[in-house]
Amino acid sequence: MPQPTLPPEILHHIFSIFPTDDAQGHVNDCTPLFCCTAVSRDWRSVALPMVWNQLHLLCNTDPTHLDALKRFFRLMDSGAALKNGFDYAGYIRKITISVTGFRRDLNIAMVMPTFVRIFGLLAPGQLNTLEVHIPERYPAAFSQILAALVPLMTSLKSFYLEDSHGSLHDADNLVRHLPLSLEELDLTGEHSYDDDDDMFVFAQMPDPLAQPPLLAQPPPPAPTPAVAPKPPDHTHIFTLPNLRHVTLKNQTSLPAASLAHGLQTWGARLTCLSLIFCDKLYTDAVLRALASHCPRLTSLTLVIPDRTSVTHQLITDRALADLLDACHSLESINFCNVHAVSDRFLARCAAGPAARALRSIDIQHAGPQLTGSSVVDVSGWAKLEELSVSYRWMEGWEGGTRKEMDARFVRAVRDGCKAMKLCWLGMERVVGPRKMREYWFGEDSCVDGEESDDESLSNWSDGDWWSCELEGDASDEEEEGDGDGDAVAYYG
Amino acid sequence: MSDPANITLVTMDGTTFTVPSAYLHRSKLVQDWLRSEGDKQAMEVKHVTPFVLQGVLNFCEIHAEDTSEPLADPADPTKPFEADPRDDAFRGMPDDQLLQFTMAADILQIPELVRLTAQEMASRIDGKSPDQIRAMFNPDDLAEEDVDSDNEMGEVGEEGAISK
Repeated sequence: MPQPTLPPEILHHIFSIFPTDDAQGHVNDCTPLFCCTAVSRDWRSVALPMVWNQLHLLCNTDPTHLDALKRFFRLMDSGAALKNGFDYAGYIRKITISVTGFRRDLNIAMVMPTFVRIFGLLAPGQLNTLEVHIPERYPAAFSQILAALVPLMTSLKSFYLEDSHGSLHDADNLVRHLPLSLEELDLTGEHSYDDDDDMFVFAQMPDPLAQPPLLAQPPPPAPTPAVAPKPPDHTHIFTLPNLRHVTLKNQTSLPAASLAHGLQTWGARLTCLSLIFCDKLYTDAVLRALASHCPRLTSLTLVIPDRTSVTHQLITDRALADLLDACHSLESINFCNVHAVSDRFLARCAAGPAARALRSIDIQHAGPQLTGSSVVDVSGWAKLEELSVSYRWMEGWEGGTRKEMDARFVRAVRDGCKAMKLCWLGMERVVGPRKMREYWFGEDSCVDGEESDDESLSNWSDGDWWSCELEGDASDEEEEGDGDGDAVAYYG
Repeated sequence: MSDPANITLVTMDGTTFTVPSAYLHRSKLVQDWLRSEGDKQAMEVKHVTPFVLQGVLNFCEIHAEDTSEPLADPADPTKPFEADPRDDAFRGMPDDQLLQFTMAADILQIPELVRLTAQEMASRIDGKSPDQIRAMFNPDDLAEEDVDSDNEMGEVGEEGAISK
């Protein structure tokens, strides 16, 4: 006799415990979730939409992959599925398109027809998430893939576009069609080789598909004057009123005034903002717009490229501190190479009532003006659980070779921040396990005897970052220095 | 209700259980009943056997003193599940009983118990074939046309990459 049937919401809860995968992964690997589709009618009706929820289409021209892709399309399009009322394609809510590694021999024309046929099985408006990674070199075929995606974007809530190699018009076209319903946006623009040596080396590699040189070389064509490509125009994003999470990376041409306008449009809905390698957006005007229009901001990330010198950073510590005052919900701040993060900012952040909600502060590549000197009142950090300040330690790098913060500040954090779970200041572990891996994955993640004996800085670049052990237990060491100096005054 | 500090529950066969109301402060069903019909003598809990209700009440008694914030949603991803040694009894019970406890947790709307039983069911399902799962929980069978569809998926697999 059959057991009583579990209600669909409980089955959904049970099935959601299983690892998520894309539809091809579930079907190919016969995952636990896929097995549940073949248990009973009730289980099947709950599990099938979960199996087919997301689809990852890989631009891979390996013959085996191509065959599998075509068979997968036939499965989606099978009459048997529709006959039973299970419209596999109708369950798809998320599509991801990416390329395997940095393949230069990629012939997207081989996969394009199947991709477009799959898109043809979907109804306009059924997708809520679209993730596109435009490959480095793509022929016109990829343009057709992108064009076929446009009709499916009418009800998107999340959109992720990585156009690291500047496909310009096609990326612009996708961005221009983003709907008003969009809530999450992640735009990665053209990669700057200045920030990644590996990419620079790759860009210099010869193209294996290039025509071999002829013995008798024809005369080279007359050089044509170089035409600077038109920078991408993504200003449409500043008209989308429902955005809550925004990440902009490598958007070097976006002007600060446009972002300030966008912040006004996004207003109180915006909760998370990340500006990474966006050269023109690090200004006080942006921070003031953020403070004026986005009071519910919970997370702010500013990553300034190394190429932006101190003199070109148009952010002041006063504007940063004012932002803290205005955004009372701010829980997480992540700053990298932001030279406006000074002791004055730190003092106001640590003691001010505006910082009461902060749970995580991560300051990387701190400048020389951040030492913690005279910052002893940390009463505003009652809920702070993670604090990290790191300096550049390589000789000759801007910011010097500072490794330690002021001893009085360190002591104040250790004694005053009762909720702190992990704290690294300079190269000193103040609170938390000796190994980062213990913190993130628990004590069981560290095997006895695997600790590194090398306490030199080289561990950070050459060794196992998770296992390295840099300094002795800070609590056992006698602190040096008295942290002389007057307490830093609040701003008026 | 004569004694506001206690609540009486009546199962499907008329068996009564009287326990402190505080035990059931995580049950949304009970809390709603207390607000709307608390003046009645007893709350009927249909579709739950005495054995299962006794187990649920044991769970509630064990966790009555917990200071953790009640779960609003058993699937809340921000609050990862942590196994509690006090709940080992639920991990050792037979499959059919686990199924009944899962349903009782859902009926009484106790998110913590729903999450516990769902985690245990998922761990038992993981790695099992559909036939093995059917043998464990004995749900209704697939209809014939569904089996046809499954076979079709299997045939796709026989060709190569997509296998079942």
